[in-house]
Amino acid sequence: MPRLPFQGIFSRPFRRRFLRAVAAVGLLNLFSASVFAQVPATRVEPEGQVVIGVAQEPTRFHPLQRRTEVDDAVHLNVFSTLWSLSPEGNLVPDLAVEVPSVENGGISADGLEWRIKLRPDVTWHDGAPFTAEDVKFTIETLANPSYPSPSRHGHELVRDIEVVSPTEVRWRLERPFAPYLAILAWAGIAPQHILAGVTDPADPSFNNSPVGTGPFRFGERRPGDHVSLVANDKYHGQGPFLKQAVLKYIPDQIGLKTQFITGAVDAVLIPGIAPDLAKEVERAPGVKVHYSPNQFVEIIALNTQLPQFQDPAVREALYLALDKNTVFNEIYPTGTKRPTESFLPEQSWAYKKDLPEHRFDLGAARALLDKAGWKPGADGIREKDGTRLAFSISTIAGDHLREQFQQLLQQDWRSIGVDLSIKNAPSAALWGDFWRKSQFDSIIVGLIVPIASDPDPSNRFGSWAIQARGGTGLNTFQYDNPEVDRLLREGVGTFDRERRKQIYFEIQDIVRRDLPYLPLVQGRSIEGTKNGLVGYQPNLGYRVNAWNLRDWRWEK
Amino acid sequence: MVRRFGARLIQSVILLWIVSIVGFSLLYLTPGGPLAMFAETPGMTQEDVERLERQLGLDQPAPIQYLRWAGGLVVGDWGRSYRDDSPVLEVIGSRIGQTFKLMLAATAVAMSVGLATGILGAVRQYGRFDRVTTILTMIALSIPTFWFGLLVIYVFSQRLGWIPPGNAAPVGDDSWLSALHHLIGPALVLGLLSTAVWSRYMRSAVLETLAQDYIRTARAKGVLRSRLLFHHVLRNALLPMITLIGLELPSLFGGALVTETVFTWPGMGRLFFDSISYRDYPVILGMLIFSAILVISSNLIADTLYGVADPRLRRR
Repeated sequence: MPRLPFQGIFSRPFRRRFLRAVAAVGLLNLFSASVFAQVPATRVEPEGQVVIGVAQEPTRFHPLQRRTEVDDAVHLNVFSTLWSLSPEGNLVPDLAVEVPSVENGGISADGLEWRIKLRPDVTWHDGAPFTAEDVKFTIETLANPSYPSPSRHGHELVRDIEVVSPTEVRWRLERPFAPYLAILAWAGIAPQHILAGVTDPADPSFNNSPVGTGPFRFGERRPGDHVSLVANDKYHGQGPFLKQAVLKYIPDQIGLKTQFITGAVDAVLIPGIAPDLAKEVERAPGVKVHYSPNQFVEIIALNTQLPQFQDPAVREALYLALDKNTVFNEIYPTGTKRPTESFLPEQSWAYKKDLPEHRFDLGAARALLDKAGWKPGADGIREKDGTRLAFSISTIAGDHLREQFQQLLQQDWRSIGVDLSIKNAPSAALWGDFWRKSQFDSIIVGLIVPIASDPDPSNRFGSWAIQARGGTGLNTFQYDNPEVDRLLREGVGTFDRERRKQIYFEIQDIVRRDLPYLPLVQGRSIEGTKNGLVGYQPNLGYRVNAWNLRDWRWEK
Repeated sequence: MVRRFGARLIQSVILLWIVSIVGFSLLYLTPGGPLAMFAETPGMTQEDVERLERQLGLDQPAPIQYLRWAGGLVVGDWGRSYRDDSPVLEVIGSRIGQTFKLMLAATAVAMSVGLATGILGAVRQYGRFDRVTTILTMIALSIPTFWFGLLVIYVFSQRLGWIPPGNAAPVGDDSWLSALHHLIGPALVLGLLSTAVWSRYMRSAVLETLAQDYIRTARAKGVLRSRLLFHHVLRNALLPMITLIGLELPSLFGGALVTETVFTWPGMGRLFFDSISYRDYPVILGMLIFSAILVISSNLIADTLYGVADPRLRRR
């Protein structure tokens, strides 16, 4: 008997299957709608390992204590933050259910009251549940002046932290401070149940076997050799796909390159491939070279309080007489730098694109100085009111590229009547009081202005940040502009990103006009990955592009 | 004998004390303290840096810092590393095994090859073998280690793939076979230089002994050539080698910075270099004291060995 198409459609097995299918679709919808995008059943079994070569050794893993950029590669994968930074510069919830804002009621309209809701389904690597107590403990410890936390910046403004429930924490800020959102994206939450009882902050036991909530558990550290991270199969987010991630310490960049092209390491990150070796690596089979933008902006910092530099015409003339093209084409290796007019990296949401473009024009530079009354003396060096247009330029001794650049500057600036002398020193001597207390005339330096990717440049341009005048900050230019001061205060006081953007646009305009430093280029890190390794994605929100090892995996 | 030993011991303690003062002052005088590297860290303010300095006790005057450190040293507390807060002795202990392994292998190569070529070269002075080894040792002595290391890696690892491009072991593979495989490159490179040194010393020691009257006498009374060599010549020629052993002994634990760097070997030489770059004062000073103790004690050992090997010294 031929079966009719409808026959048996509601037979029991089919009905059961149907119901199951409906339920599954319903569940799927539920999960995609909720923030808990992770469904345990869909978890992919982690497999394989990746060995990442780094030329600095990760040694400090305590999330509440000082660390260097290479340590971040461990921190960002072992610990979680309330929210993290996406490569596009947005905040993405992690331990928090949502990023608080004035719109969603997480932050009060005056910016002072914060309410954070936390995920209920997160556990520490030792199995203990993560709760609001951990958040409270972390922020209180970071703000504690007698605790060796790396920075109290932002945390010191927090008052009255209150645990409302295991999944909710509240606090009050002493004054509205917008960068605090980004600062929290760098603050790995520490386990209160382990650390609250530790009285000696220098006790190395937690540093040597940290417990977090991140996608990887801490494996082991072989001093001088490597640190291994092991997949956390209870991770609350997507991934990890790798069973193990290893940070292999290779102290010199030639070794790093050799081990990369011979296949001993699968990726090269901090500090990446040396520019003069990049071409060789590009020719090697089976590997990819990435020129990834970083946050460093290379500038010539001017000490604006020197009598020579107080005249804005001088600063502008020096910028006009700067042959940026030759610098790019002849001195810096191709692909490692991008010209810029701003102090912010191009990828920042506050970066202003259409700043006046630099032009190289020796004639205009001379005319400008003539007009401002700087007259050439007997030796051809200009002077005005007894001040000779003579000063020195410094950088790290032995930095060949910058030394070549200095010689080029010396020639070009000599041709407009400026006497430039070169005064280089080892980095230890340079970055002490010489830099911080503005004892230099001018200096070539790579700066990172954003703090935890927030564009607020108060630390660099606020007149209260001049150490030479008793301030606390790194306004080493001694730049003092009341208008900028006002804008800086306004910029941190509002949470409205559009408003903040306008403010930082305005500051970039003013600084570009005032030229307390001469902007040159934004840096790029040359990094490498083996073919077939996916997940590598540069992120300027962090200091290291190993921020997302949970996404890394081997192509099948 | 005992009195002499006692006097040497007191001398050693005074020497150590001087080393500690000089080492500490040198570190203290270098500009940029352990926290200088954080000066340009985004998010760390000057206040933060000063607070950390205070918490580490770095704001105290130099003599007080010295007394604190030296006082700890006497009671066995060598301080804690700034890099990971581990006790200094533990940090040194974690590296010394790797260095010892490497240096032992290198010294084994150097001693066996060096002594053999030295003896053979001296026995047939200006012969073909002697001339070739003389040239080779001169080349070995003048090759910069880092260059030779890179060459070995390029040829035998990058081109031929015979040996690994560095590391003491691949991650997760602790087998002794793989450890041995990784040892070949650095041990050969490091051994080459000392081979030349051993060979030159041995050659001249043998030559000197051969010119002695008692050798002529022994020959005159018809002693077999082999007996002459092993019994009369070598026993005397090896005496100065004891001094050389005494000199080489500290380096067995001190490590070799260049080779360890080129071959990514996690030993003592690199620990010292890393500690300097990180301004890890407690570890730098700890290693300084540690190597001073090694040098002093191996000199003591060499002197004692002299007494054993040379009966003339025992009688005195």
